[in-house]
Amino acid sequence: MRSRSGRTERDVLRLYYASDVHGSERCWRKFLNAAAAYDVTALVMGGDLTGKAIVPVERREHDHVARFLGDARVATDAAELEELLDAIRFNGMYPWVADGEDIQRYASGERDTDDLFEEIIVRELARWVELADERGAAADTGVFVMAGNDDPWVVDDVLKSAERTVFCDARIVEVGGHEMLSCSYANPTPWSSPRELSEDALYDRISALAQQLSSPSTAIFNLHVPPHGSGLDSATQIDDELRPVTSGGAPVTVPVGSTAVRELIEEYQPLLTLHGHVHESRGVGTIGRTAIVNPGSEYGNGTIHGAIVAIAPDRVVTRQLVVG
Amino acid sequence: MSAPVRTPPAATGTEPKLFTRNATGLVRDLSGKQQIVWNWIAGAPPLGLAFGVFVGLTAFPGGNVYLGLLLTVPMALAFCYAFGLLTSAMPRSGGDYTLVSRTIHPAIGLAGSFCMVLAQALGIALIGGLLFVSLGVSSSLATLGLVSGNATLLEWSATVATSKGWQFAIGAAVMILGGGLVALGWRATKRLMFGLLAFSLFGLLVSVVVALFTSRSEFASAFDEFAAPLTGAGGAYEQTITTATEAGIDPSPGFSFANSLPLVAIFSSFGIYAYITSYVGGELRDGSSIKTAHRMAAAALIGIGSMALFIAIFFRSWGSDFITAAYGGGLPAELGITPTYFVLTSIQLDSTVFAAFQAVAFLAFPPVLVAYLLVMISRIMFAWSFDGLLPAKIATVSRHNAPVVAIAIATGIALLFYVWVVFAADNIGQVIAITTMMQLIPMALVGLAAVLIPRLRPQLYRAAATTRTVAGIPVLVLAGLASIVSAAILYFLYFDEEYFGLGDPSAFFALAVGTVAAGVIWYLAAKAIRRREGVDLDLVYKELPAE
Repeated sequence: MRSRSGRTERDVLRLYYASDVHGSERCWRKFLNAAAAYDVTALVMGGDLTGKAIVPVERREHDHVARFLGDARVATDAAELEELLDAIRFNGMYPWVADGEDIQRYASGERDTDDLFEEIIVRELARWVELADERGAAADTGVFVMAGNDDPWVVDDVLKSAERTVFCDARIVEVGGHEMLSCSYANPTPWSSPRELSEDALYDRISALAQQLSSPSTAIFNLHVPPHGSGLDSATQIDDELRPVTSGGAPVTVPVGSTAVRELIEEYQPLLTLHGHVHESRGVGTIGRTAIVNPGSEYGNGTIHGAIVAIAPDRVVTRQLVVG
Repeated sequence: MSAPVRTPPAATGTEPKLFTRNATGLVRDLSGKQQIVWNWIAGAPPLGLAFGVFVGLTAFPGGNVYLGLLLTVPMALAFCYAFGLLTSAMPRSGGDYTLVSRTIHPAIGLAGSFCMVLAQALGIALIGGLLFVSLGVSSSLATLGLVSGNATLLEWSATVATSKGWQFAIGAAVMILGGGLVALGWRATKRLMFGLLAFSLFGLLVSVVVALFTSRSEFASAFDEFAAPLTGAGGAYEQTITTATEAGIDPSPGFSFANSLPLVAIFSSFGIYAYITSYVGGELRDGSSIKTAHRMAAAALIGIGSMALFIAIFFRSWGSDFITAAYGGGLPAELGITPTYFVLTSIQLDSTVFAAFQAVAFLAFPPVLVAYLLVMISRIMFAWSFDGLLPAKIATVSRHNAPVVAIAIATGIALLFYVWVVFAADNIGQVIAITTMMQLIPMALVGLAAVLIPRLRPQLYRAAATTRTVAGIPVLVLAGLASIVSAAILYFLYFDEEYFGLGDPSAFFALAVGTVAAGVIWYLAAKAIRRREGVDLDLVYKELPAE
């Protein structure tokens, strides 16, 4: 079958890419439903799956109470509690129902909140992966997932345990006839997140993968961090105390992408590169012959930003940014 | 509609706090204070005080300016909360286009934003061109000429005031300069805008402070003393009132409620636009919070409140009858000035240096607004381009992050409108009325989106900063209804009053309908073209199920 432009449609891979859902279950479910809605055959999730905050919900004698988005919220029955937990998840945070004493142990530092995060992340992510396996099988879609720089290491173990969903970080996988290499690391950030490497180390890590490609010119690079100075990496400059740097009363915007990633794209000139990481720098562009994409992220309001990309064997046919 | 999770009447303050971990943080560009300033700039206080407020005194005798301002407040708040709460549900750039296209239909969203771009381009032509030249350059030259006794400056002032060629050349140069400055980059633009704004507002505040510490008799004496050598007679202050009275102007009319209502149409052209940060919704700190709407409302209240305060101070010092008479043509012909606040203060102090400072401070404001409107138009074009309605080239940015293509297009459109404004428009009031009315179309559509969102896009509605209800009706729906009613009232006032020069509504409706039709046709054409390229535009607006 030929399209009106003369292309053979069966040779064109249609994939949907999104990234940085940060614990928003609503976004994750939308991501899995994108295959049917957008008529794509592959779903690629570019990392930063886990949430950044836990909202303790204190179990009291007659009700539950939580401080959430600046408000004190009270749930007096099971239905209200469920709605409260949903609202917390909706905003990309993890609800944690516990007694006041338990909460106090973490709040006082008696127990390490990192352990609590790990416990909750494993539990919540396992549910997500199970859902992905079910939906992927039902839609006969390839679901490719990796972590991002914000995700703790335990995430990899959960993703590797998936039955059908493909854990694609630090390896080369085949997506609709194209090789795809993936890297969850970012260059250093002011937040000292779990997966950061110096530019040199990042270059070495991705280059080692790229050298294994049989056809770099038709490959897809799924790299969490965008290339430096590409227009997909503009963010507000931060000082040592994580405050926005201002000049003349206005915040200063600087490119924060990776120079190593840019260098590698210029060197290997793959067909397509997929990026996330800088939420506010949504866009598409090109570096040489390579099409580059960062769909951005607004996980906090329950909408998922993504990109639908149609790829012929030797070129990117279309790139379309969508918000679902 | 149920709201089972509620805020308790008395929070104990001991609720468990959030636990967080080290993770990359999204830093939004515009802080809360900057959002208020951005929204407040939309009210153009120096221009409002120099032109908008006092012209109504002679057009609508007996109209109470404070009542007019008070009646403007609920309209301003309605638009703020309709835009603000919808933006909290969809915190991304693009303003009315984003809000309407996602809620009602993309073709309607695009048609509305075509009207918005047309209105903003007219606004640039009006402010950066006509008001800058006639009110700023001409008045400044006249004042400086009078204060310094320089006849050449007075000649130049007369030339600029009467020559359409000079008006076009100077205004066009300012618009091109404004576009060039914005093209320097976002960082340079913001620095420049805030710098010029601070300087301009400082000039306005100096005028206000001078008036605050000047009694009416002191001002009258200073005015008489200044005018005496030019008129060859004393008592110019009283003579201004007498001349206006003889010309049929009543400088001290009794209160008229009927004439207070049209003042709302004048004040609304300055006071109801405090929702502008919706156009940079993706760059707001706390964009999905109710603070977004509150900051818009705060800016509107500060703008209207400060306008009322400044008017009260000027009335007390200069006399409302004198201001009415001066704007009604009672000033001695030898002065040849427009009685704006910076002109009157300069005359009072009779100092060349002070007059120069006031002139430069006033002239600094229009370029701020030009840059501001160019940024707004470029954000709308970005949103169109991201959605595939325009070629991706429109979203091209320079190495300084400046949307150079969008700026060039916006400046070009503004220049085209400026040709009409200078050479074809009947008067400034007509231009202001058409600009405001075109803008009211997308504003009313945003109101409609606010009314319909709970029914059409329930998932998006639940993402709004509040789903609270009043008497069972969602607050967002109430804000939307109030916005639609406000737009309807303003339309009625603009058509009802001869002063606004819209006697034959068919010309305006032809423009409005033509623009809306152009938007719809553009959408359908873009959709057909993209389909041939293998892109389905409908997917851009499709909300994914979250079950």
